[in-house]
Amino acid sequence: MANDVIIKVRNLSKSYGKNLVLDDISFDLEKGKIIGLLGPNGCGKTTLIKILSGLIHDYDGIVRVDDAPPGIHTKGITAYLPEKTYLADWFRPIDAINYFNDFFSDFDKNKALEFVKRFRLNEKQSIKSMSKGMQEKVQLLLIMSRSAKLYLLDEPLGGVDPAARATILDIIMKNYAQDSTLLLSTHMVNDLEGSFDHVLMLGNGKVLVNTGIAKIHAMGKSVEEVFKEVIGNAWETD
Amino acid sequence: MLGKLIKNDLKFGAHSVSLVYLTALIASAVMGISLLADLETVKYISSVVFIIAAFAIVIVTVITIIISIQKTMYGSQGYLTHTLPVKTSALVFSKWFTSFLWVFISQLFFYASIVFMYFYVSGEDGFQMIKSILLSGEFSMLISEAVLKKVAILEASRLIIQVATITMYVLFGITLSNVRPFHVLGNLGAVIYSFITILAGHYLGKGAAKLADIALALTPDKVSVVVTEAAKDAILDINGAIRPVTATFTGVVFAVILYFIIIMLIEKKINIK
Repeated sequence: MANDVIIKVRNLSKSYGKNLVLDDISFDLEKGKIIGLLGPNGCGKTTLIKILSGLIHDYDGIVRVDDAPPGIHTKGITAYLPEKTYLADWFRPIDAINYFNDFFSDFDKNKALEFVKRFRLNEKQSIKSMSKGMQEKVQLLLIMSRSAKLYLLDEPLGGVDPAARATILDIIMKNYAQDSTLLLSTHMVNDLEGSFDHVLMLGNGKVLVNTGIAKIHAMGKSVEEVFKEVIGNAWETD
Repeated sequence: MLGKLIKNDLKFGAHSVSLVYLTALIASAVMGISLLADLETVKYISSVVFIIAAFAIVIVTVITIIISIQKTMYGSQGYLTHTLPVKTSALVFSKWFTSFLWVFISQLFFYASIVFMYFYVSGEDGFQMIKSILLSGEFSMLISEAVLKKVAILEASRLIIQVATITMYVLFGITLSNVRPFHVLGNLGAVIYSFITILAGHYLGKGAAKLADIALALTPDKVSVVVTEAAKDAILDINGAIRPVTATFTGVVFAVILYFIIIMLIEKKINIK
């Protein structure tokens, strides 16, 4: 694997029963980029992220993160933000911070505590008594307080209102570790177009586009236009 | 990392079972109050209620632990658990060890309540009866004090081992309920598969004991392994004690095998939902 590749996928297939979600896909993603993982709902974005983060094991093909199959090494260098709340409901922000501090050597506890103040969260309020938006903030602050090599963010803007969306995006962009790679799945292409260096579009279980933003712009198109074009085509052939 | 996992799993467990132990505390307090009422009817009713409550606490602890493991290992919290940079073997060991501790504490509470109840109901008569049995000439003819101590230690160890092995069986049952196609039964599957595994462990032990009835021979001087009936009779002739160990040993081996199967299932078969 070339040294500048952080994610290598070869002939990856994954199905749930008879439903083939990823169909023999192959691609490389370079280090140090902000990569948009785009595609309509149900196209396999979450499945791909779960495979990369080591949560799904029964797939066919080869997956390498930082030259290693998903496992202890890759989990140590990957910061994963799932779509759903993964913290125990009795956890308070301070408990979650201590938990991350216990297990992740790249976790910056002081940074996390600063985030708590910045987000105006009560560090002693339980997760179950928080709103969905507050819970997402807690999970986000935990992830962004790590100096990971790879950030896997699954729909971080999915459940938030447009005002909060801009704030969250700003936090992500300003706080991810320099030289690290950020793979961010979304179907909100418009909001994020300006942030991406690279896009990977999935549809019908296939990689439809895997290219740099500069190339798209050189064609005189926006990411949204390309997205509509290829996803539209993918749906038509469905 | 294992130490940190155990520390955090103990915290998770404490949050899950705290309500159960609060109930135990209230039950004990009610018992204490009923002691003040010197009425035979109240005494017997509260004793029965207390024993039922103590047994219920064991059951509720087991159910609470099953739910907690489902959540933290295979439910939404599994997203965090399985993205920690730790070995799967450490994750499983930590869950097993902490679950075992909680179940063991609830069992201790149950046995302690039975002992307490015995003395509470029988009063001074019960205490005198046990004392006379232990000090009677007949009893000392059967077994010496030194051997009795060894038997007590062995039986206490057997109880601990049984709780430990059953905890692993339950952990296996929960894990199996998350593997296709066994997952279709959901949480009910966890209970059913646990029960089947416990039965399998029990009958495996019985079968092994029929094949080779190995026992520990306890005499005042030493503890040795005996296999033949003649050797066992010889030990009994000198007022020693014979305790069978095949079933317990088989249970331990079965639990260790299940531990590795659980690790394999997590690493190869289970997708966190």
